[in-house]
Amino acid sequence: MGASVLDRPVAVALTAAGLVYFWLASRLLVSDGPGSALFPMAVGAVWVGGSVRYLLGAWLRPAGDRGAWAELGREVRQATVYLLLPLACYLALLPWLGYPAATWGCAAWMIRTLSERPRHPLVPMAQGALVAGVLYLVFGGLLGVALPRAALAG
Amino acid sequence: MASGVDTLAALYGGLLTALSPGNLLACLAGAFLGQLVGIVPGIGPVGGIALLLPMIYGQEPVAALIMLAGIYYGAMYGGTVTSVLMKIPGENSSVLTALEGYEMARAGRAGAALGIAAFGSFIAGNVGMLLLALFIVPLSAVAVGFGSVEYAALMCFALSAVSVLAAEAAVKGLISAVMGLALATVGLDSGTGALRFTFGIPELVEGIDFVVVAIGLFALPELCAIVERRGAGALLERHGYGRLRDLWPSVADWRRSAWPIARGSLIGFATGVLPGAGATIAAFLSYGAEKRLSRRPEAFGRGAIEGVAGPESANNGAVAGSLVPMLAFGIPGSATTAILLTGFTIVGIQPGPRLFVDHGPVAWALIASMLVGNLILLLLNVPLIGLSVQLLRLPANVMVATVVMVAAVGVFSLRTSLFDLWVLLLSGVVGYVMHKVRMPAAPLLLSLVLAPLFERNLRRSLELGGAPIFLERPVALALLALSLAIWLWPVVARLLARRAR
Repeated sequence: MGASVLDRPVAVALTAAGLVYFWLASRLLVSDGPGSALFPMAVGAVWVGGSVRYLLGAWLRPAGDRGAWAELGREVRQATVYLLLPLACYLALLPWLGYPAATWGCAAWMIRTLSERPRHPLVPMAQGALVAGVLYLVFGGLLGVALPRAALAG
Repeated sequence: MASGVDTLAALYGGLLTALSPGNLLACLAGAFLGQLVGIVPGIGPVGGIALLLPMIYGQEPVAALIMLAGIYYGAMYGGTVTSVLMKIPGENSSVLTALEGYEMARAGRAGAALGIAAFGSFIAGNVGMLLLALFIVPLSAVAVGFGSVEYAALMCFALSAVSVLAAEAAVKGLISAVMGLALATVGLDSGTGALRFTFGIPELVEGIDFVVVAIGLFALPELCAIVERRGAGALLERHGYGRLRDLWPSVADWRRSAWPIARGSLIGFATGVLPGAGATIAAFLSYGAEKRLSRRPEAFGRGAIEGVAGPESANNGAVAGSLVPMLAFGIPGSATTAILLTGFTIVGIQPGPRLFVDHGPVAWALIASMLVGNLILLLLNVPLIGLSVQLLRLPANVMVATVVMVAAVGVFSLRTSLFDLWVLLLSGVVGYVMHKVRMPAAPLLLSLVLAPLFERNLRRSLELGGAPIFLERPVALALLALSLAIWLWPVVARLLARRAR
């Protein structure tokens, strides 16, 4: 089994999630009867069983050294700061700013922050506008998707 | 049961339908778009087909399905280009192409590597299509005799196979599969009408959209991996690729590749039929076979053309093979065919035993379109290689931002739901963590698709005769025994290896 320094915390989280799921499924037994609860309860039981097995396996292997944790931390930070966080901000702003402005802003921001060398701010802004515009044409124009409008504009 | 002549006649009819101008255009568009999304790192076939799914809304069923199939094999080939030129496999099945093809590219033989991959894919795709046409009708006839008990057992087998075969550790595959089953229980229970795990959120009543999860699980983690390597500059390293335009392999290349292509086609088809095995295992089996049979095994890993021809043929043969369980039983055997199944549902066609009875012309047109699609793909390759190289020279920042925006707007367009976008982000985070602990995402996706059918058939079986009914039906019993054998196999193999030592 390929070991990862994340195995232990992930196994703990999965076991906890499996237990919560099983508990919620068992509550269905009371509220909706066995018809609705049986399948989720069986799934929950297998989930908990599998996670405990994974947890045991992860605990029996040597834990990751400090270097491996530092490397993982760097990678996760990069992915979070440059991709996941901008995407979360985009989703939060989309209903307020509407599709064109939010997409333009997010694309330009990502292009700028991920850039290898400093560029004039107008370059990522132009590239972001191009990305947003082409997608608007394809999805809004060709496919007729009703893209979100800005709530701020009323 | 249809005779060989009936099959040929039906295939010919399907070919005529596939060659009608509208369907031909759909096939061309699908293969072109598929190849483009396959080339873009971070999308791959699963994410690519999921992203392009909105394209089929409002189309005729035949054209829509032909387009989806075109996207499928186009995306499979697109991964080859990135493997050879950048050593970035578009999907797992291209890992070996990345190994050998990239070495060929470094030696200035990128054109020959891409050419033999294209011809191998073309040949394997058509061999697979013919085998699919031969086996599908008899298998569908067998599937007609399946009841709830057999279906529940078959799904148990499919989920067991995908959990064990897709993961390096069976327990990780199992956890991935049960997470998919658990996700599928969210929403309205069609059997009892009860709401499960909705927590008062109206958007959860309809359940969690499988395509949204697919894009999040497959596309976002790959993009995160690219962002982690920030500092690498343009994705395509600049070194000599030889004569890229010269895609016609030499006579010596053909001589060395003919048998690997033939073996790869058969290995691919046979492996593709197994749920969970799919293109990746097919490619590895083919590579292993070629290395064992080669007179120069030491050349492998240093740019052996057999190491490109065999695995590339195998992964394309597996595409046709993976359609067998989906078309005959309505059960997808891989994450990609699970998305194809969604495409069938969108156009109002249910794959399974009745497919060739109720929608025969559509099904045969789909099968025949593989021949047309493979030919189109072969013809597209030459002009598209230049475009691919230009696309790969796009700076990573522009490419990542574009793919993220395409994923977001693609997900939104499925149900015009902002809630789905948050599901996309959450799936992406889960997929990223799974990627970090080497937990496969395919079992999660497949079980998410199969769960409603699995639960319905399981419930019906238990109502019919309780748990003992599984022991009374020979087919169900055999499938359950096979499932058990699959779970026990890693343990047995470990014990045997220990004893041998």
